[in-house]
Amino acid sequence: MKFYRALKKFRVLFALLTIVLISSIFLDIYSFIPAVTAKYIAVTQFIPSYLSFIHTPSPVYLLFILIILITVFSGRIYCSFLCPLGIYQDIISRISSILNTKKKYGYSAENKVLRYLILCLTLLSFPFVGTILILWLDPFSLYGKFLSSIVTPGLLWINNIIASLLMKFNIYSMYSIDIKYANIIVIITAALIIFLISLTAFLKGRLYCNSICPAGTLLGLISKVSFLKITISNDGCIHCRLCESICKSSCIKHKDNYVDFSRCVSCFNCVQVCPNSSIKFRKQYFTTKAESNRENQSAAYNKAGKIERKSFITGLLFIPSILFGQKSDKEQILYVQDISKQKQYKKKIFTSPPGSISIDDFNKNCTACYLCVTRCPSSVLQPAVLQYGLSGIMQPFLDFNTGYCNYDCTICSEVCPTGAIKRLDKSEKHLIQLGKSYFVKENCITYTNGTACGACSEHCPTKAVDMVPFKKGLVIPEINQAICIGCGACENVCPVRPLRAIYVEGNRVHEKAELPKEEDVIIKKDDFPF
Amino acid sequence: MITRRRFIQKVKEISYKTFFSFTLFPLFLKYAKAADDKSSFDMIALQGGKGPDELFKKGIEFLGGMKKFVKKGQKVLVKPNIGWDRSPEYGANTSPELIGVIVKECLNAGAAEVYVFDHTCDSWQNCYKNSKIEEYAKNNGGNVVAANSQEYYVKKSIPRAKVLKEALVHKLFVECDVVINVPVLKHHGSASVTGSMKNLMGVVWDRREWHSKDLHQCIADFATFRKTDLTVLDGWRVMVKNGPRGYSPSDAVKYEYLFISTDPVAIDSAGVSVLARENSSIKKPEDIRYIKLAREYGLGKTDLDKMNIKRITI
Repeated sequence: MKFYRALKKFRVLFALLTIVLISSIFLDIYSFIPAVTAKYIAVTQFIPSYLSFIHTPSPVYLLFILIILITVFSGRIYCSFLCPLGIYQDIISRISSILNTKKKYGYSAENKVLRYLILCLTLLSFPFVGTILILWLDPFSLYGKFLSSIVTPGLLWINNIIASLLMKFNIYSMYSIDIKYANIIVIITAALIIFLISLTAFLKGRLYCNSICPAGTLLGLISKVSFLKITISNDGCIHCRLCESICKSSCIKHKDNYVDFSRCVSCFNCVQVCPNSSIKFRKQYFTTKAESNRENQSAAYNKAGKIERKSFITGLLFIPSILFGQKSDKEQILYVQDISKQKQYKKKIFTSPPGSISIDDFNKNCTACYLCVTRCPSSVLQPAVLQYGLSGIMQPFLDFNTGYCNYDCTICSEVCPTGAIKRLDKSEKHLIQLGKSYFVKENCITYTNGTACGACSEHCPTKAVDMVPFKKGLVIPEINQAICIGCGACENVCPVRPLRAIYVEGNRVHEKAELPKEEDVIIKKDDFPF
Repeated sequence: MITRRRFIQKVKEISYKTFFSFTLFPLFLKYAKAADDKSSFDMIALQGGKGPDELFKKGIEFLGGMKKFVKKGQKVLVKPNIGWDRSPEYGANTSPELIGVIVKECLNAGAAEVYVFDHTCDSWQNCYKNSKIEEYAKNNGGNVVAANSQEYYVKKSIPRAKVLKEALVHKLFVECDVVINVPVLKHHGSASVTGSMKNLMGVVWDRREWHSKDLHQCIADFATFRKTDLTVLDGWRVMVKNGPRGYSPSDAVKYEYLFISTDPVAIDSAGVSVLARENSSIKKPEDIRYIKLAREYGLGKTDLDKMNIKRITI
């Protein structure tokens, strides 16, 4: 009993440490944690580690194998010790049990069809469409979406209030950071998802983990053959129901002394609460035939009503994005219609981050955890709505309204925990052409107003946008697409609205840019010219 | 009683005193007058030496020393150009040693606080760090302030302006008692030359507005908002082409110049004449419209030939 109590305490401490670490990489608004460290914290997660491994088979990313081995040995330790969304749900259900001391969980049958259907769909669709389902289901990515689109802006807001207060007293040690979240739709979607998960956690404990989460289902499947399992011995049990009422996974059935171990998240609450120490965490190779029979019966009994409700919940998760996504597209069209004098054009392809090789590759590999979005120093990475089309909903794209991709910055490639953005060093990045810049002379200030501007050429890191003589001593931009890297600096700074005079059309597949010519450094010590 | 010895001593004393008053004292007077003349230079132009910091220390003495500009207890703003995420050898930002020495001299002169900031183009933390200006300013006791958020800016009207009637200006540019502008001399794609007046674009929030409403007029308009107390133009590495960001270190030529003046227009004119040698599109100061407009506003002189310039080559 003492051992089990210690085990539970250890689990709680470990889980708290995990959630603090994982949260800190998303909430690190001052960039204290180096990008690479943040990545290694993130690849402790099951799905990110697996995705990283299939991109770069390096032993560092083998943690998913370790998680599987741990599961084979002792069940879904991952779900209670390492999964941030799982721990978050534990915290919510703990709060709910504090608020309502009478609250009790009870056994409910496994939602087999929904559970395995989602797992099968995820696994089968992965080779063909990539992460499109994982993006909505992976617990790490969902937790990341929640933090970076809701909590981080809140944190920035608090920081800004304190900074502006301090500024009144001439203290400038804290700085304010503009919150540049372009898309309210993404925030609403993330809020809705986390609200639904919180609600189910508040009422039903780990319902999400045991009926939707594909990682949970997969590990649950593996845990069926676990070496160590939670078991209730028939001798000591006095049927006090304490274990059943405390089980967040609703997987203990005291009547039959039965534990559905595939749904057990190894929180060790039951073992430490049992007054008679008749629940044990011990070796048991297979569930007995009688038990599995019983399981089947109860599953069949409960089947009809519950599936519908739960698939309804999953369906709900998709509705807002589709709904709002279309709305945003309409807004864009209205935006275009407003202008009468400008030369019209429509951007066809939006730009994917450097290191993603191609938009298709990126759409297939990104789980939209938004770690890159929170770490991007120039805020150019923003969640997409329909910029990539339906296949890339919620995935980050380069939004040149909020910033531009800094020439020497490789942070997103350092931080990406799934390998969707490949690790680049500066010299590699300098040669990647994300898109090509197009100049619309008819919209340019120098052409329409006859005044100097040249903001685009100023910001161009390769001088692909250069200024050439125009008239009346003025200069006007000219583009050399061969050396353009598509960083979007020109589009970002162009002051013309609503349609800009220069814009970047993304490359569906990233190309290789040519390096501009470099000359030798001249040292001249002439006399003063005056 | 006057002894012979005492008499000789007295004669000695008197002759020494007369010698002093007739020969050395006028010399001293002349020297003192010359020292007084120093402050009447329009510009100090320096070249050579170990670095821009050494040049600054030497040059500021000819304008009467730092104490002439910074009084005890004053708040000082040192405004470098930190526009780009570039290391110093590109010449895209002001030399960090120069900022370091100016901060130090200000504090030595009794400044209560020396602030350093720039509203950067690239992401600001990278710019502050990779230009090394943050490091040098902090090590010398400066207070490095952010300028990346609109919260730092206050709306100010510019009464003499023709186009830029209003602007969001960094709080410290308005509040500080002394402003020392420390630009770096560069070729500039649209404004032809960037020096002192163009560098003040880094104390306002909305630069797009300047670009959209006649850039040259806006630069001149904003120069009327507050005349900077001292301008130090860093010409150690001069970006002669592909400015203002530059593509490679080869865009910069190591001229090893430094110009110090209280007249921002004169400083920019000197900058133009340096760039005119390497860049055929730039000819004389008045060809750059914002310099001409600034002269018309009466902000300074452009005729370098008529200026009293102290030239020092080390």
